[in-house]
Amino acid sequence: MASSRRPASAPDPASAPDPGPGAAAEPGQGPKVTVSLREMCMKFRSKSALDGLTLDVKSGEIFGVVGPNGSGKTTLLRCICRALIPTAGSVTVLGRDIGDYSNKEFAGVISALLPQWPSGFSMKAYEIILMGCRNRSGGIWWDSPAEYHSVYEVLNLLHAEDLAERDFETLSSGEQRKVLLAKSLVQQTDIVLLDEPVAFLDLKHKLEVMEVLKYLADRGKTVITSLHELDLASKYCHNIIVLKGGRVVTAGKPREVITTDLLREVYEVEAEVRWDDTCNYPIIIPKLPANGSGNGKDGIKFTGSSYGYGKTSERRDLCPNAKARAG
Amino acid sequence: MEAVLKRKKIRLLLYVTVLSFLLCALFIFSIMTGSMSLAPRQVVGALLGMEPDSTITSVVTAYRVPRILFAAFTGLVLGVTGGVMQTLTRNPLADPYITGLSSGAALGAAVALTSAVIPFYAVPVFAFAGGVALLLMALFLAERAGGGALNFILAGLAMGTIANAILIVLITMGGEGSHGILYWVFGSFSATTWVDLRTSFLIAAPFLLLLFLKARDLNIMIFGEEHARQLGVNAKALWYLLVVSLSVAVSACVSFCGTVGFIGLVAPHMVRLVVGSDNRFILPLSGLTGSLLLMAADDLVRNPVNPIFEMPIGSMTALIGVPFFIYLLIRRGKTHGL
Repeated sequence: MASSRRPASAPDPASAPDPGPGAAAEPGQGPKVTVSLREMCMKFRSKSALDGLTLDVKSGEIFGVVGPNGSGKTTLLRCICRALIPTAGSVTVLGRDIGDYSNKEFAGVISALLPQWPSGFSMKAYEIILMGCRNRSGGIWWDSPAEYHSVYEVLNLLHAEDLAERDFETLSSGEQRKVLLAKSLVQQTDIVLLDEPVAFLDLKHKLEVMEVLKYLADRGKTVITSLHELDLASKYCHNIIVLKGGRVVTAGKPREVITTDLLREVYEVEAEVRWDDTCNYPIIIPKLPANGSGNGKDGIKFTGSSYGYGKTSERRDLCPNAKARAG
Repeated sequence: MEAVLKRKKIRLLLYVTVLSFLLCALFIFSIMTGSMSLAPRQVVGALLGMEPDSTITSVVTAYRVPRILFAAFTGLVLGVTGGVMQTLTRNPLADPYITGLSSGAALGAAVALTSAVIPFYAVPVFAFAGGVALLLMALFLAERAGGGALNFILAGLAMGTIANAILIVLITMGGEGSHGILYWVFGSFSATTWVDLRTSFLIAAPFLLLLFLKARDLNIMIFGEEHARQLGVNAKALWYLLVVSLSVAVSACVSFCGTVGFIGLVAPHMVRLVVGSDNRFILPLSGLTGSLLLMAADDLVRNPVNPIFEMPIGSMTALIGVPFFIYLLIRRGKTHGL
């Protein structure tokens, strides 16, 4: 994939030009804890979005955050990258409380790919990626040739050289996502946070992006990513955490965590999980929404008349087999 | 990729050279036009102090040159600050007056003009104070509402509306002063002196320089404050620094000539449509474009046929700016297939 096509001697764009002190863990040294949360809570007014999260993430690992919509995945990432300030508990990055970092120091430690809306102003993709170099740039007016070079290297890593000169606003949402990923990679930080990096991408590009994350982790970076794709999360993440309603439901190795029970409990989906042992890839075969969802009966239902279909308030089962199966 | 950087540098240099050349040509042309037409030879002679006719020399150096330079400088300030404000508020419709600054300045001027005790030469001081006061109130209000660009725009709108309402009351009650207020609101360069030019230049130039020094960080602000902070920018401090700097620079100019509209909105867009939204292009090129526009508008205002009647400069900027703006919009629509 992404990494295999690169020549072995190619410089690592994510740590070029020179990994200074405090850079990624050297080979030989064991992985160390880079991000650690202790009893972290986040409340929006009175509503609790995250409730007492405690976790440790090590260098060289891809840490997946999964869970249904609204479970607090994005809030968790935003708390770690200081976009939100936790209402209680602590977040420690490389042994220091995140509140103790200056903006400039912090930008040298963590890069984040968060949802971003187009600005309405036209800029070329490479101009946006260059923004990631801001932290180590010296020039007053122009970006240095070295910065342009690192932009090119990251685009090369993502197989996205052809996007460089395109207008960001005219790119598809998947391509915009790739450009923003390139921007956070060009920041060359030890810790990379990504909020659904593969959303809007097609299958090939999903795999490419995940391979890039693997490439980063193999080089000692800490990668924390939220994902909706449980199969990709299982294949690529070393550890995952499952959130629901702002609490940790379970955490651990994907193979131990992603089970039929979990899908029923957390996602309210009845599914069979089969593991492909040759490539450690789970195949999730969804059946039907589990008992307890919707109207307290089986299957998805809707009232015909309220949608303008059907004459009476006759209820239709979208899945007539559900009753038979449940019965 | 290094070639891209080189190409950018050459492009910027080329654009700046072309616009500067046009600016010089327009400067000479502007001196030639007016109630007394002059030949290019007379203009150059007067500028170099070699014109035998002392009337011509005094018309050129005491009257026309400060006026034209002031128009050029105001255009420059409005063009640069308009570009900065559009990026900072992430709003393509923003101009430097969005803080309510123009209404505040007009109100300050109106108070001075209607009052019997305030001498005429103090009007710019009141206008400047009014503009800055309204900016500070808008900033305070926006901060109380939770900060952010949107709150700032809304607070500016609220403050501007109040100032406008009071202004209208002053105009209707103003009697003799009313015409002066209206005249001031629409803007004019007719009474500009060297002292005005020097004063506003000395106040505005350092702040303008500051805006230029922050052009790179300004690019990062395109995706908002939080994004900028994540890339290592002290976004909030930068935001305040830029808003206050640009407002002081604008106030220093419009306090003398009145709130000339439209340049701050249209000049950055003209540049944007041609070179994109990199602020390292927008700031210098939009400044030069603003200068050209305002000098041209002032030329048209100085009606050689009927020197008694001078059109307000604000109407003229709109009349010549809008058609060109529409042309660029349509052209862009065609090339982008929108």
